Amino acid sequence: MNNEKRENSFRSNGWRTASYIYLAVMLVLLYSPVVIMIRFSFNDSRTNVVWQGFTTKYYDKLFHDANLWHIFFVTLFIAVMVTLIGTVVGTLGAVGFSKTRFPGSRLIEDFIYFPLVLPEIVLGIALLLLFNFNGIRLGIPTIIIGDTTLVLPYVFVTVKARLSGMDPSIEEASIDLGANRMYTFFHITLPAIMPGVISGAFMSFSLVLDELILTSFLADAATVTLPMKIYSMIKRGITPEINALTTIIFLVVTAGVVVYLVSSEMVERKQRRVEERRGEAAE
Amino acid sequence: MKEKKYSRITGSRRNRTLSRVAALLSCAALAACTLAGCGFNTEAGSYLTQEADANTLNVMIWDSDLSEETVAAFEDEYGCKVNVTYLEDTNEMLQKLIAGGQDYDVLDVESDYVRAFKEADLLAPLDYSVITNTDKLDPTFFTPGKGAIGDENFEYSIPLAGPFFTCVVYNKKTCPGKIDTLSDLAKPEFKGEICSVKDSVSVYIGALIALGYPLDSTDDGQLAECQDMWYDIMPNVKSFVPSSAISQLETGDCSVAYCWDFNTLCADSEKYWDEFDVAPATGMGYTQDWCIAKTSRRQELANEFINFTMLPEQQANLINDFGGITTVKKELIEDLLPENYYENPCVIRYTEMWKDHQEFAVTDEQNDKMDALYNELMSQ
Amino acid sequence: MEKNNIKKQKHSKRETASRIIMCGPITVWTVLFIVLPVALLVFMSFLTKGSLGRIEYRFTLKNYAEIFNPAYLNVLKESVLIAFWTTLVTILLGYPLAMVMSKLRKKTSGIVAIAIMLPLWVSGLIITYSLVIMLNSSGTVNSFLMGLGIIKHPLQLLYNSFAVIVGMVYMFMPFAVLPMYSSIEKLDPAVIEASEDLGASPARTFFKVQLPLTSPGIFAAIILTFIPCIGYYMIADMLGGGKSMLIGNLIYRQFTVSRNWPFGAALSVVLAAIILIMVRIYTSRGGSMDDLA
Repeated sequence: MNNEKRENSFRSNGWRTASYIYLAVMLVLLYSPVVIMIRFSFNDSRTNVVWQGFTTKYYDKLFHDANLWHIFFVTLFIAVMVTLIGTVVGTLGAVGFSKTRFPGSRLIEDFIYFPLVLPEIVLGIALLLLFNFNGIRLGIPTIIIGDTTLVLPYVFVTVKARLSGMDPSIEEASIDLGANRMYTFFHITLPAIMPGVISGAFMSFSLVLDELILTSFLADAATVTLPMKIYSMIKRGITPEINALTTIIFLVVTAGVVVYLVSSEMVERKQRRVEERRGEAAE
Repeated sequence: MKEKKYSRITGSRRNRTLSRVAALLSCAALAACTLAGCGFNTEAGSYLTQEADANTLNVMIWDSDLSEETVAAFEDEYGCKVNVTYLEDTNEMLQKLIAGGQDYDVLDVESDYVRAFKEADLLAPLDYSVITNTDKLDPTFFTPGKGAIGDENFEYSIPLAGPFFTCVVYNKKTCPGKIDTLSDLAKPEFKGEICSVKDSVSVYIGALIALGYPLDSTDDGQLAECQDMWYDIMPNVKSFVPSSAISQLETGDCSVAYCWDFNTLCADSEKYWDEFDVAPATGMGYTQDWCIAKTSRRQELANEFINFTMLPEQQANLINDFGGITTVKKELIEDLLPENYYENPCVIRYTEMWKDHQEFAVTDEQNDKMDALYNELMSQ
Repeated sequence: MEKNNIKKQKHSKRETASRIIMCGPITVWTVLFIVLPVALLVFMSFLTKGSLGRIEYRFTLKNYAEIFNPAYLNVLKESVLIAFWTTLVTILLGYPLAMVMSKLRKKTSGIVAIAIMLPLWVSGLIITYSLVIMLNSSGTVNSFLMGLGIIKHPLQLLYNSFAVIVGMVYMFMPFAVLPMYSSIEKLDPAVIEASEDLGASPARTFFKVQLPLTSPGIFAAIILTFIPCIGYYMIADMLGGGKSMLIGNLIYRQFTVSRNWPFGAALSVVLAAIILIMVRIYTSRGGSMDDLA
């Protein structure tokens, strides 16, 4: 029904064309750096600022560059860990805080939002101070902690938003029927807020994958993440190898998104057909 | 979205107090655990770094001072892992080491900072029973008594390659005027043509050279003159860069660059040999030296690494990647270098400039003053 | 709801346990990794810098006094200005985009939303670097325009404020469009229709009805753009020629090159305070942090 209303909501054909043109122009603008990125992965130049010829040798170099893949996997590992911890803690917290109040909970909630509003650099420095004062050595664990702290408010806010849109009576019903809180949480609440949780997890993952400022403060000598590597190469020109890597990542992510969309479309179509048949059978 | 969810707790007061106490206690317990410090580190995931610990070498360098092939070759021959961290500023390195908690072994220190590092007690003496390849070095670059100020006998530092210069590089065709000293950059014809490195040492020591003042000056009057000179140059600067001006020169965005990577520019492509040249009188000369961190736990491996980079094959790798001059004796390395190596304008110029360069070493007081001036300059 | 009270009292002990499990972790995390570090930061801002960057535990207010140096205030002003222009351009370009998206079918607008976010997900740094390649004197834009004969000499598109704002807009556009889109989407079309039925012109409807009703989304977009933007400096360095120092640069320098941690801490505290004040203004005017979802 929503779809119908929308199709009729363009004021006139003139507006519709203009809107589509605007959309197209914006998308072209947004994607032109991506096109450049892909094109320059085939550039025959080490400093990779000026186009000097076509070559695939940097892709070849990429596949043999164990170091760069190691860096990528370290980054991936950190992103996965942060997403896991952040999603779990954040979801639990969002559910908990929306149901209970304890002395100081308002204050704590305000603090949870801090990483959202503070510049990353301030957060990074504050955490660095914390680790330094306690003699904790920097490294992958500290990066994970830092990124999780950054990501928590995003998950918290997203899940909370989803929660407030949820009908509380289904939870009440469950409790009335004798289930305890844990059971209610896992079997009633969680499925209802799942889209929010997934969206929060998605956001966390993408935030961490590209995170530079916190990492640069909280990493040690042995840890290099992909954003750090890219940034360190920016001064002298990012070799086409890095372009090749990000091109591949981009293609993989795009492919993943396409697969997800297509498969969910297919699932929906199947369901619709099933319902249609049921409708027909009922007649 | 502004609904306030009021508490649905109806438990008795006692229950609320209990839960409060429980929450506080668990908070305190976890806080105490963290503050214990070391316990946290070993448990929470240094399994990743522990295995790396045994046979790793952590190297902190400028990005054009070490060839990837050298790293790979060293890793193969000594069966270890080399982690490379890149710098943008020697002060940053100093800061990291002083703050502690870092685990670096081999450091790439500018010769003018060696004294500062040594006096801050950050360096371990080099072990020449391991670094035996010094016999392959050209005496011009390795004569006891002629080392960096503060370490003249190479006890704590040794050049990793031939000297470098921070100087004015210009495009012979498109440069709009003649440049003899750094102060010429203030001339109106250079408007929008200049690219410059941004570290305060290059900026202000370069100015001291141009004005003919002693390079260790902390005189406020002289430094103020340097600042004035840069205020005059500022309108002509199109871009400041953290370490490399090559892309600005190559794309033609700037025809003049005050930078230290003339060697890399020439190594990037031979077509630049005819296009670019330097203004010799503007050159600030130094070497990049290998040092070993005092807190390094792998000093023997570190010494092996330094020794390894002095091999003719490894120096050749460095030169082929990033250009510049080598410290290895000519006859040992000739065959490994490209045939036209001695026609490379960088080699010609740098060798000339090294003959009458001024040695200098930065002091802490100087650094603080230059830093304050720099902040002022960039805040306008 | 009253009849549930009795049942709830029976479960209260288990409830307490489950409450601790739910609120506990995040509370502990917040205290340990947000409250404590910030407290340390404030503490550090009152200490003195020693020789070579070591810290001396001498109490001083000098760090805060130093902030009033006109050079540093200028730095703050520059950062706020850039953040302001970036936010303005982002909202001006993003709102129409959000409107167009809201008129599409739900599925299509979902795809467009993902398409907008995708490039940044992969690597914001590379996108910024690609912008350098595109905007320099022999880059894509200039070659294109010169090739068509529209201009004779390359335009100065890089190493100035224009490039910085362009780069920042690329960075923040996705974050701004989504809340505005979600706000516009919730708008009941009946309200718009009613306004038009009552005789208001489309323009009037837009300004007097649609904008005010979607203002939560706009405010959320402003917050999500302006605030991070103030602290950003890497994009400005890459695209702006590094000629002006921004507050992010200044703070970063204190912890690395200048080796003055106490001053850096003071700057951070001041920056954080300014931002928190702005957020307070936002929430007191009826905004809610939850709207940012």
